[in-house]
This record gives sequence, structure tokens and C-alpha cells, in this order.
Amino acid sequence: MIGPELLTQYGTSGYLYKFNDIIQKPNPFAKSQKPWKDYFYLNMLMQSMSIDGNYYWLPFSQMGVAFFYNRDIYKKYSLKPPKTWAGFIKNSKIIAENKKTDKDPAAFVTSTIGMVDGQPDGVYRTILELLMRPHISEINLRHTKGRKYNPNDSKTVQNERIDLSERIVAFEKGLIDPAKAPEWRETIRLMKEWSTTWRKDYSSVTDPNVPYETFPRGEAANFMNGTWYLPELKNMQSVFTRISPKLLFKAGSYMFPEFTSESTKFPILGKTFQQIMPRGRLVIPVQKKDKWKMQAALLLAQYLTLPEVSQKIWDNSDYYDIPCVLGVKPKPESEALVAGAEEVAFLDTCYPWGYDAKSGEDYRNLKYLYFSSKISLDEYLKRLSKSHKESLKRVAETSPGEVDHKFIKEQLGKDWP
Amino acid sequence: MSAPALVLLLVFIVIQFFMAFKLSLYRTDGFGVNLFVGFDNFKEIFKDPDFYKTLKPLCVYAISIPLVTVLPLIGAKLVYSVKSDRAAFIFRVVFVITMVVPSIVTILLWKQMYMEKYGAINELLKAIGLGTLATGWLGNPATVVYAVVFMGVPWIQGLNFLIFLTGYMKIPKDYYEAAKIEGAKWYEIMWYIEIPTLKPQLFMVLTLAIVGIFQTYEIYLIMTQGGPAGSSTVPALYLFQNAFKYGKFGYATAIGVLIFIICIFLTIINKVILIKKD
Repeated sequence: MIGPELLTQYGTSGYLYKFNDIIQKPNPFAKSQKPWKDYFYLNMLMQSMSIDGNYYWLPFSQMGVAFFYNRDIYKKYSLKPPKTWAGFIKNSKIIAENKKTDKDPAAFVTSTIGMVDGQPDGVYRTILELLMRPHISEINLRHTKGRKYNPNDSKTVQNERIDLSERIVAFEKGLIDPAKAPEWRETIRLMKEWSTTWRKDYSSVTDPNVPYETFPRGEAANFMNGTWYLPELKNMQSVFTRISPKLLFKAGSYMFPEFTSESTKFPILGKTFQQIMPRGRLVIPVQKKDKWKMQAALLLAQYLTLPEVSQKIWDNSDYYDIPCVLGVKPKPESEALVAGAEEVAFLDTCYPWGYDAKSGEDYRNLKYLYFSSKISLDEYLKRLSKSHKESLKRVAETSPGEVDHKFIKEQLGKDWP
Repeated sequence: MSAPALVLLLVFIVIQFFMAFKLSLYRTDGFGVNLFVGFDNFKEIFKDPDFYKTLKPLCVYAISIPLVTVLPLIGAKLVYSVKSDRAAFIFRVVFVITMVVPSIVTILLWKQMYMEKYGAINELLKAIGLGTLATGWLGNPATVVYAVVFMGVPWIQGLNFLIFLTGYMKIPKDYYEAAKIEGAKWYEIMWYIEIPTLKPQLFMVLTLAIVGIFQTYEIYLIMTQGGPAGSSTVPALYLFQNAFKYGKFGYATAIGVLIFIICIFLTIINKVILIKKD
């Protein structure tokens, strides 16, 4: 399994088939004449568009991220699954304050080292995106004429994306610059407040399996993860309870809590974006000699995305991800995780981890340094800002065609860089 | 007889080196973009603050050079001195058996032992009343590289041990008898007979150790991924990250060529010092 960054790299180098034109035409296996693109959840299709505006892959399954919680621990402290972020922090603080010994459960277990999937990185991105919403029209400057952004209507961002030139302008104007944007500072404040409730070893956990296995052992009240975690949670629980039946507990799940004025003074527009993103992707490698192979792969992709065929795949497999094809039902356990998610407009205004793999590494290093109190907030934001600026330069260097110098000059009054 | 071996060496080693050198002169992501940049990649290395940061963990890791040289030498001497053939055989097996254990097994075992919670080392410290010393060994920039060095305990690598043992076996018995007659002490025998006679072996082991510290990256990749905050990113891991994480194949290859040149340089110095002492 490879991530979208690598696929984009393959795609921009000409190794992957572009679905741009074919998705505008009907699926030959379907009776309906509607374009193939209309078979997919709009949000998923939009997240499949790479930074250069091409579709090098189509979404097939989506992962939904949610909070899992230990019902027994919640009962013990008379807590309820939170609806708001303020409620979530309140719950977490109660659990953290009651943790007197190693045996008491932690409110949350995570790691600042490396990537622990579905963990605070995702929360960081979600909060930042939410706080940035009031600036979307200033960032997405080249949006479709006449279109007005509505955070609760994904159609208002259909075919919109923040292109590289827009990002450069937004960064230089300070809108998405970590050192200048007050929303960034506020995001970190909220993250830091949450981090006070994490288990204390979070800055030294190097093994991603630690947070993963802690929740099934009943040692943490909350755990953030995705649909892919459900079968593993069941398996781990069955193993652990065979060792000690005391470890058996009932797990529940709740969606990402909504942000309200109780948590932040910054304006909150619309509902919180739930972290749902494409996972299984349909990709066709370019075949210069045997073009029939590409054609065959394309037909297979079109066949697999017929709702009735896709439904059979979900019905006959142990797959808890959410289908990307509209009308296909996921497993009952996953249904609650995506409720209403497709309504929210998502534009990926800015990325906490910058714009290339190198800035991703810088992001992780700085995250460790800040959350383990080795550097100040100002230093963190300053260094993150530098890393983002450098990554924009690198991306501009590798994709010069994406940099619209005329537009940048118009906006900034000078050329860039 | 040696012609096929030479051909294989040429195809898989020599040509690869020249290809790597050629690649280091290009800006390439390993796929499509190939731009000839001359020595720009090399110039970039010297301007890259992240590259300089990799030298600190490398220097700490260099502690392992004397350890993996001296301790196998002592181990070989002890085994060589054992009178009983059966006991000598058992020791040889014990020291060499580590060679057949895949390194990934050792790395993963140590990774488990170093864990802050439930890790064997911290549990042991707590059990003997030194719980205050318990820490996340791999999650602490101050301890991470030392923890990796300590992984090699007792640092008697099978190959180095065998090289020295073979060297000891080649020392003529007459030398020892003559030394005994002259009333030489054990340290005099070691300094005037054994060390000079074992010079080729010492050169070989030292060279392997030096090259080893520059080439090692898999331990860091598996145990720490270069963290926390890059504190265990050694040059070879930085090379790996540039090639396979950042897609900077040309730059990564330039780092590889630089490492190669440094290794050759250190090997020559090593050789010169040993010859001079001769």
C-alpha cells in the first residue's frame, strides 16, 4: 500500500493513466447515461485530485476516523460520549486527574514520534481546517466564478482546489503561514491543552503498536482510529481476554466532537469536518506498448465501481472501510462513523505537515520538540513556517508549470520566490 | 577460475559504483526528472544543516569501533588460550552462533526491551531499586544513540572473533616459547608478539568497523526512524530518507559517494598508521 504523495509522484512522471476525461463519460456497464464521476462520493473524488489538478487514481474505499471509547471506564467516572470538543476535554481531564497509579486508565495514549495513524496529526489538521474556514475565499482566490463557499455543502467546493500558486500567495500574505496566522497559534493552543491529558510517555513512545494495543487492554479510555481498526480491535480483545477475562470491556465510538465558542474565541463556521479520506484506490499504470492492457484495466475499474458489484465485494469480505461508490452499504459497525460526513465541504486549506515529504519529517521532529517542551511555541511556529516556505519552493521547483507567476505578481506586487 | 568472479564483481559492484557516481551529478527523483547539475549535489551537502546534524549521532556511534575491535580480540585470545579442545569448541560455537541469528530479530528484541512501559530494561531497573533511572531509551535524544550502541553488547561479533582467532592460530608457537625463556610478561607478549603479528587482522577488523558505522542505517530505521527529532539520523539513514522518502535520488547518491570517499580515506589512514608502526 502506498500513499497519495507517491502516487502523485508516479503520476506527474507519466507512469499513471489520467482519469480526467473518462470520468466525464458514462460507465459502459451501466444502463444509466450519467457520467462515471457521479458514481462516487463527491468528497472522495475531490480528495483524489492531485495538486496538479489531475486524477491519477479513483477512490474505491474510504477510511473513516472516529473516537473509540471504553464504556466501562466512562461508566466508572459517570461520563457520556462528548458531543463537543469542550466536553471531550472535560471528560479527558476527569480521567487524567483520576490516574494516580500505573493501573488507572489514561485518558488517551499516543506518540509524538513517527506517524501513529489516525492520531493527533489528524486532529491538528481538522482543527486547523475548521479555524481557517473564514479565510477560504481569501485563499481559494481562483475559485469558479459566482461560487460561494458554504462549509456545510460539499457541492460548493466541487472541482475547487487550492492550487500551488494560491498556496504561495496565501502563505506570503501570512494567511497560512504558521508563524503569522493566529489560527495556527490557536490550533496549537488547543492541541497543547488536549496533550495535558495524554499518557505521560507520549513523547518517548517509538512503537506505533503501543497506542494501538493499549486501548484493547483497557488501559486507555479513548482511542482515535479508523474503520480499519474495527476487525483488529475485535481480534486483540479476543486475544487479551483469553489471557485475562478481566480485560473484557464494551467499546463504543463517537464522531469527532463539534467545536463551539466554549473552546475557542475564533469564529466557527459550519460543522466539523469528519476525517474521512480515500484509502483503496483504483490505479492504472501506463502501458506504452500493450495499450490493450490499459483498456482491460479500465474496464475492470468501471465494472468494479458499479454499485451492485461493489456491494457484493463489501458483503462478501471482512472489510470495514466505507465504500466510495454511492449507494453501497458498508458493514453495520462502520455506518455510524460516516454519518453526514459527505455533506461537509472540505478544501484542504493548509497542511500542518507542509507540502512535501521533507517538510513532513520536519513537522514530526518539531512536534516532538514542542510537545515534549524542548522548544517554545514561538520557536515551534517559526521553524514550522521556515519548513513550509522551503517545501513550497521545492514543490515549485519540481512542478514549475504549476506556478503562475503573473497571478502571484498581481497578488503580491512582486514575483516569487 | 577467477574470471567469472571478476565479471560478477565488475557488473554488480564496479559498474554500479560508476553509475551511482553518474547519478550523483543529476537532479533526479528516480523517475522522470533528470537534470544534469554537475557537482551541485555535492555543494548542497556541504550547505545542508540537516546533513551536519547527522554527524553528531555518527560520532557517538563511533564508540562502537574500539568495542567491536578490542572485545573480539580479547574473546579470541581467551578461546585460543583454553587448553581443553572440547571447551574451546563450545566457546567457538557460542561466539559464532550469533552470526546465524538474523539481525532483524536482535533489533526487534532490543526495541521491546527499551520500551518505557513494560520494557525489560526499565522493569529490571525498577526491580533493583533504580526506577528513577528508567526512561524511554529510544524516545530520549540524550540516550537514543547510546542505546543503539549498547545493543551490540558484548560486542563480540562472530566474524571479527573468527578473524582474530585465525590470526592467533597462525602465530608460531616458537615465538611464545622464546618469550617465555626470556621471561616476558603477558602484556609484553601481547604488545611485542601478538599485536604486530595480528596487524593484518586488526587492519581488516578496523576497516570493517569504520565502514560499518558509515553504512549502518537499518538499526536506526527499524528502532527509531531517525528520531526523536532527528537525533539518531546517521548519514546512511539520511541518504535513505533522501532517496526513498523525499525522492531526491541524485542528492542521496551524492551522499553515498561522499560516504564512499570518506571510507576510502579512513581506510588509507588506517593502513598508513599500521604500516608506519611496522
